[in-house]
Amino acid sequence: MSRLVVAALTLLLTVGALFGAAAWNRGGDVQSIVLTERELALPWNWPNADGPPRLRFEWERRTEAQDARLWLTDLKLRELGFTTGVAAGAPEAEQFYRRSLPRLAWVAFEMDGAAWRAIEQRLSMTSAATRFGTLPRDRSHLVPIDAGPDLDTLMRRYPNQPVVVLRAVVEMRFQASPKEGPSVWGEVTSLVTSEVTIPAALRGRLPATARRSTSPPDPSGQTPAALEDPRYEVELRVGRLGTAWVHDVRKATIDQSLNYQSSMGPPLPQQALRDRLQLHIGGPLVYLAYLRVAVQLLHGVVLDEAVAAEQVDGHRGHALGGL
Amino acid sequence: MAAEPRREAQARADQIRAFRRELRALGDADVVRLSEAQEAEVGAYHERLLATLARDFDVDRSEHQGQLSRGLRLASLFGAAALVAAITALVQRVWGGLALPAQVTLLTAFPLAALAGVHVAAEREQTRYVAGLFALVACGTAWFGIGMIARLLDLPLSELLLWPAAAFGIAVASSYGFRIVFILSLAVLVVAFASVFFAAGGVPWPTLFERLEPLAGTSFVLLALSSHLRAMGEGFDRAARHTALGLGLGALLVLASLTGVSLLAFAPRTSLALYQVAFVPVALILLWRALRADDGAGSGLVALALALFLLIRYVDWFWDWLPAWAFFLILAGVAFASIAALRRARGRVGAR
Repeated sequence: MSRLVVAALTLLLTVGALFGAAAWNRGGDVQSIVLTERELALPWNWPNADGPPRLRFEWERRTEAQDARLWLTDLKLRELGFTTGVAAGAPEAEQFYRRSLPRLAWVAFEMDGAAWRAIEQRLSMTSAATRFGTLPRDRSHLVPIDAGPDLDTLMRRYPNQPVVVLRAVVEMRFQASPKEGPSVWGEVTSLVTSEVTIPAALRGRLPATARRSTSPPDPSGQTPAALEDPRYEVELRVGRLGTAWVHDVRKATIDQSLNYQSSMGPPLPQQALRDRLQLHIGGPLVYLAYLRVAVQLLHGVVLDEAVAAEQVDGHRGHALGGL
Repeated sequence: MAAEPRREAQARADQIRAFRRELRALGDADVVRLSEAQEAEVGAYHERLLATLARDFDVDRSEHQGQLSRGLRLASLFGAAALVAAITALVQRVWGGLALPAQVTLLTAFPLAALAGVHVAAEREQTRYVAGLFALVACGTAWFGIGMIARLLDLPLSELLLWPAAAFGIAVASSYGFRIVFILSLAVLVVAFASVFFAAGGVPWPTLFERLEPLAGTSFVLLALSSHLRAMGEGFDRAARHTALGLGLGALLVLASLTGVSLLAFAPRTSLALYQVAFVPVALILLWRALRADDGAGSGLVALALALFLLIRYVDWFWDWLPAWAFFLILAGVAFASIAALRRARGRVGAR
């Protein structure tokens, strides 16, 4: 009997500790950010999904080696505990990096900012040129831009910006492409808390159905069906423990001018090229590999910090910081 | 009879049954026959003893009762699994209409009610089939509840949650000696210990299922400590030994069979070769220990792991080299050789 009491007390104390942790998380200075249905998706079988209704984080994966190296540099990977001493071209590189253990890291995600617009431009050019890949308006605008081992340092680095810092799992990737040669990069493969619960009081503000497609899928299977525009916005808060919760849900008020594929269909490549400095931030000319043009200018400079990227970063950090 | 009273009571009842059968056989063969008075006296003594054992320990008085008891144990296990599944499905289904306090109350109430069920059932029946069912339900719903409450509060499913889950299970198991609950809780405890190794290095704890050395190491530590767990409940030392053997040898078998699951800094093929070389002596030492301890289930577990290892090695090394007929012929030859070796060993054991 006494051991059953111990068991009951263990359970009650654990539940109490969980509430204490949640209260501590939400009690102090918090980050706040507004995300849309693209970044916080409903379950595919909404509203018939079993279990507590939850929204799933979607973010831009940045799985291309050159793009990934722009934000997750060797230095940052080393700070996270990765060993990056083996050159990508070394014979043992593939085995070395494939055996590398994943690491927990704090990752800063920017919402609908300069990093997203750079990706958007590149994607639209690729889509227009090859008709391959997801259309930009369907993709999440939440983009990882920075990572580090310490939450407070990252939060201080992005004050008053649409940036949220979340706990994530980062893994090393190795790819030996016959055309572009071997490359090594880091990638955010998952979030430690990949879903957030919708409080009961806010559930009524969510749409009655899951997000629908607005066009039939491409019979060839290369281009997925486009989805309807986001229908809701979520004000998300992140607390002292770095875990997020839903603070508010409201109808979406998306500025469609930000999204040049909203209703006019895909732009021509020359239309996408007329954005002046944004072009350089987006970097379609840097990402020659996307246009199947041989890359000749790397020579290890990108592994550190490319000169062009430093200049653009200066513009992005100041004149275009609010984009 | 202090350490394992019910097991020993059952052994005594089985002994009486065997004695009666043998006495009948001796009488039929005219070797020895008790007088009617002696037969009545012995019979009355045995009946009194069996009645006492049945009252105090609910022992099986016949082979049929034994078969039914095994059925009861299975039914108890399936009943518990089905009840946990029903509760989780019900909770998942009605979830949308409930507010957070109601959800948490529901998730906490199920295991607490099951704990009350354990107590009431254990006080009313000696066999504890129903109490065992409630114990499994208490553990299943408590573990589900802890995970679900963490998710409801948007907290990560941290490795720290494994500790209270294991503590809850061990407390329930040791209350009335529920061995299956104990085995499950020990498995959670081994995972919790192994997860510390990864969490301390900033590596996500589920990686422990992809790199198996910490899991294997923790399991063998449990194996070394298992004899100290006898004091916690009847047969808990054996249960701990079998849990450790299952987890440890399972992890070692995977390490010796697959590349990419080792933490060793060597090339994957080198690590694989090292574990393949180490597996057989480790398994033989464990088999020898299990046989010395007269642990039938333990030696069975080790023998199974060893057989699996040899089979995997044989397929890995020879499938591509040998024609199919030769491959299976050699396998049949090994089976015949094993039969011959076991028959010889059996003869020697019998001679002693």
